[in-house]
Amino acid sequence: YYQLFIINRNGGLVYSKSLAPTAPALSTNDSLRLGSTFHGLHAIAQQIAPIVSGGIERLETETFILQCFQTLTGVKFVVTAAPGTPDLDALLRGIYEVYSDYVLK
Amino acid sequence: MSDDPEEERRLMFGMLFSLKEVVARFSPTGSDNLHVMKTSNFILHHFQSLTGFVFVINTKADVPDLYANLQHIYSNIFIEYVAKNPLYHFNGEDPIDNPLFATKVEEYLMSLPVP
Repeated sequence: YYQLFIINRNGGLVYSKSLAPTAPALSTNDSLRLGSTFHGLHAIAQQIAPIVSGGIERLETETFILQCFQTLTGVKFVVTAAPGTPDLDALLRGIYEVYSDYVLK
Repeated sequence: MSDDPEEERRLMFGMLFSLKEVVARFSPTGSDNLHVMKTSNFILHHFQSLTGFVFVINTKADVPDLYANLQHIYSNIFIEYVAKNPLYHFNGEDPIDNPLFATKVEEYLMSLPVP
């Protein structure tokens, strides 16, 4: 795993954490900007879809995979990992559970 | 959403541009080779050549990675029928108006074992 981001329903970054020393080093400014950019792209993807669709769930590139889980309240959990990492969706759902237990209650 | 196809094209272009920047930032090596973007209902397959041409296909969600196919379309069909064609002037700006190219691409896509 490389990095974890949590983005709120307005596109603002509420949490970011580097999970590996090989992850790219992002300044606070960069992470905030990435958070809102991704939030916007997630919405655009939903609009240009040829059929009715949700937003971005997964991005696969040559060097990493990005998985996004959007809750019913609009909060997005985003994780990046090395190509081939399995069960990213389950990971994000687990993090969502921990989030609701410790952050919201 | 099938409004204005021109609008859709512009949105797609803008999205791809920002997406590549995001990908470059997230990548541990800084490279921005996007292969696939998946949503709950469709998949966008993407390939960019070294010369900067971008090839995109939107498919249903059950189709596997078409990156290699896009690469084939580029090197075998585009290069052959557009770039190497001495009678067809392609300046990189106007839409590709080459009917033979369009037919060949369609033939190739139909021949793939994809739903």
